[in-house]
Amino acid sequence: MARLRLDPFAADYDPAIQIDEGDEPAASVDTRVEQEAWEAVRPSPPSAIPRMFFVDGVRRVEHRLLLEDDRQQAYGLLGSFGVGATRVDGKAARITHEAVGRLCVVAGGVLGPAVESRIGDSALVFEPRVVPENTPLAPIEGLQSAMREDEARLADTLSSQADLVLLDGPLTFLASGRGPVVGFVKRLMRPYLAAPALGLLRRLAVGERTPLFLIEDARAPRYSWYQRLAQGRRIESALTGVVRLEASGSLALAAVRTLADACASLLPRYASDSAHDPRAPHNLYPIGGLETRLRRLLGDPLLIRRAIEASLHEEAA
Amino acid sequence: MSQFVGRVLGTQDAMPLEFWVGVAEGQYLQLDDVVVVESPLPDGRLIRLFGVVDLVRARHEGARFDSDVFLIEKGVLPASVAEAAHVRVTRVEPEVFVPPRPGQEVARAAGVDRDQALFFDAMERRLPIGLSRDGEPVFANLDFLDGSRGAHVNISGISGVATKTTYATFLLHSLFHSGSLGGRAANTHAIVFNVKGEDLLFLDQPNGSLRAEARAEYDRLGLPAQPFASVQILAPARKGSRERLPDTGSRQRGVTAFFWTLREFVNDRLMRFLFAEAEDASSQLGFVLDRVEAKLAQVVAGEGKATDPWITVEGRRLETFDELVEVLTDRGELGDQKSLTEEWAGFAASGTVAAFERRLAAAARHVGHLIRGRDVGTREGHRLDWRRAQTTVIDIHNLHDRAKRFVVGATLKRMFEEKEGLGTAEPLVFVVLDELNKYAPREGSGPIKEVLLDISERGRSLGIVLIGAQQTASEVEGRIVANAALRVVGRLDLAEAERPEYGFLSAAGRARAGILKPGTMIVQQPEIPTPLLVRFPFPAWATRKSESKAGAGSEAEVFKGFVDG
Repeated sequence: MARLRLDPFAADYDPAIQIDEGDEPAASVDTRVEQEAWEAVRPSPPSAIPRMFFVDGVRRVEHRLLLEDDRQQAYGLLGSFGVGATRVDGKAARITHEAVGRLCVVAGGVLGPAVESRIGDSALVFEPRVVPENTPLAPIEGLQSAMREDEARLADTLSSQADLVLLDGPLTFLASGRGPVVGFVKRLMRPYLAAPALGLLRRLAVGERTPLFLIEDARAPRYSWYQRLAQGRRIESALTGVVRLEASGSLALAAVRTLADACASLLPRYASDSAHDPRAPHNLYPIGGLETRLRRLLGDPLLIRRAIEASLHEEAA
Repeated sequence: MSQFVGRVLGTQDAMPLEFWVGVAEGQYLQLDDVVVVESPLPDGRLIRLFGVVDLVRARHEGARFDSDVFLIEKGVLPASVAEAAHVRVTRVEPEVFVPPRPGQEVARAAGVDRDQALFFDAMERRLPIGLSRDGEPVFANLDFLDGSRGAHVNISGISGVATKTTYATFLLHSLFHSGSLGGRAANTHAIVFNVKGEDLLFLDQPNGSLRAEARAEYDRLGLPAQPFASVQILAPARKGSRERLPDTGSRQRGVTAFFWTLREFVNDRLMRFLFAEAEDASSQLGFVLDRVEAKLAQVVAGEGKATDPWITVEGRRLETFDELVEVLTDRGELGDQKSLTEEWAGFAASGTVAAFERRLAAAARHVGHLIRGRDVGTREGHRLDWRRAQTTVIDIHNLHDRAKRFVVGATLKRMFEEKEGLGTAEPLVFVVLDELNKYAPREGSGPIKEVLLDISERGRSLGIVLIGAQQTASEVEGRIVANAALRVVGRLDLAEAERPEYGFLSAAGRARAGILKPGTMIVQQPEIPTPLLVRFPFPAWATRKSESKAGAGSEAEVFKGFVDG
């Protein structure tokens, strides 16, 4: 008998749960790298909270563009993104890094111009960036990857100063893969496990994780595990509060296991509450706070939109 | 010099007369801090805005819900603390009233900047009136105290906590010793009425409880930490005392008894001050009073010497006040004759005459002993003469309310008339009077209120300055409060603080008036558009017997015998 249950994310966002247990695994997955038995692992919590960084970014399209002449057109956009990090050490959560980038992304391999507009005494410069494909959605992917690249770079830098760096999203853009960087995927999207193994996800208790499994696909190999951050409400899907994490496959298995254990026991502490965050409990507090701060750094959208229009007017005149 | 503390906020409106400051990391601003900000005009000129902090607040930024504070303290939710201070602008130089630009640097004003912010630089004769909370002297412009451009002080505050009279005496001390009066200081007098308690009876004795810190505060103010030098203490003659002993409490030595002679009472027309209770001058009773006063003066003028204490009325020599009352109200043994009052009052209704007589008799009970026709001794020794010392303390705390009013009214009237006769503002006389609400109540009128109103309205040109105090300014005649150039508030009842008399206080100032500690006052003066909080040092003069060094010494001597024995 099917039951009606809610996806935990607010309707303005993409759903948190996008996997179907009937799907075939999307990649070659080895579920026995850590242990033979596929059953919940309950690590004991570390004695002290390690030095951790949460790295995240936000982005916003200020204006969509078309670069056109009589014969053809290229899609583009003017966008802003912010990347930063929150440091957590058990006593306080502090935003320690924050940077804003602005891009003029043009698709179809054409390098667009740098666009400069002025607001008060400050100048906003949108640096040119190219994406090869010319589709209406390509520019936004260009903006997204620019942000993800910066996030990965920041995570890489911070990994030498911390016991654990939690990077929002998969590790796609991470270059080195040697530091204690863990990718935090808050949406269950691609099925990596076959149906019987997936069943364990629903049964995970808070603080528990699945055994590690190794994913080998087009991207670099990486270890991954699911864990439960929080118990959802009764009206929500049983998968509420379950997230997937991944660490570089070039790390030693023992090191990854330490990271996974730390995450499984520590992260529930940072799981958000639905009153605070429309993506609770998956969007962790240190990340939600960072996003708020970064969004503010992007500036007032209306003001920027007008400034862009004003500068284009000047050019056209 | 002035030091950077923050920047003008742009998330709150910045206005020419008020703005908010974001306090920089590692800095702080507290209430009453004086700040300065420079703001450029498009034409290149630099506007300097000076102001005083009247609100400070701190809040979490990055938090949306009240419960976020727990997450933040747990180290889960990142947030930062933002402090901001609200500044009330006191001065703009040059006077171009533009708002400071958000983002401009704000500095804590020190030295010349602070003087400029509080207009001290423009005060030619400045009088120290206390210390700000950061320990710097605060001044008032003497021009507004000595009558040059204004006069009078009004002090409000709850009894016992507000230290109103102590502050009044501190102001006197400052006037006498700060040097701001220049050569006139020596010839300046003060008349201090001690209306309750005995706080003011030891002004001439050093305070044994004065600590080194208080001495340092006097130093900073440029004032000597010493008691009043030239003081006479007058107390009413004791009831029934032929020896004219003063009626005082714990202070015995150095107190002179005072009284009036019957002849002075008649000649100076002091009878009206027996009828203080809000009797309208235009009423029937006032008419009878006028007639009786005039007739008595007329009768007395024809007999005796001016120095004779007694008077003769209707051929009878009168030596006590009771006898005078008797002569005025006697209706013969059968009660069928007309009393003298009735005769003199002419057409007044008999009811009015009876009321007059009743009140006169009632007054005799409480005031009679202050008016003598015999046993006057050396008259000069018992005259209430404020010129004999720089400070005259008149102790009336033991008297009945009616007698208190009589003494205050009679003394002030006489002094006012003398000054009027002189026609100059010299010598300057400061009158300290607490419980002003009893002498000049808001409702009704009376002879004492008239004298006080005269002082408050014309005293400025005659060199009479009223330092009045009361619990609640709302109960005092509005014109007297309004005429005071210096308005001072000590601890106030919060409901009282909401009244329009305290309109000069900001909302925050009102709230603070409710928690002021003893020794702290809020002072509003004409030149500075914002009230300033001042602390004044612990009095260097004793305010009770136990504090007086002389008293403490003798007490020790008394007990010495017990210890040794």
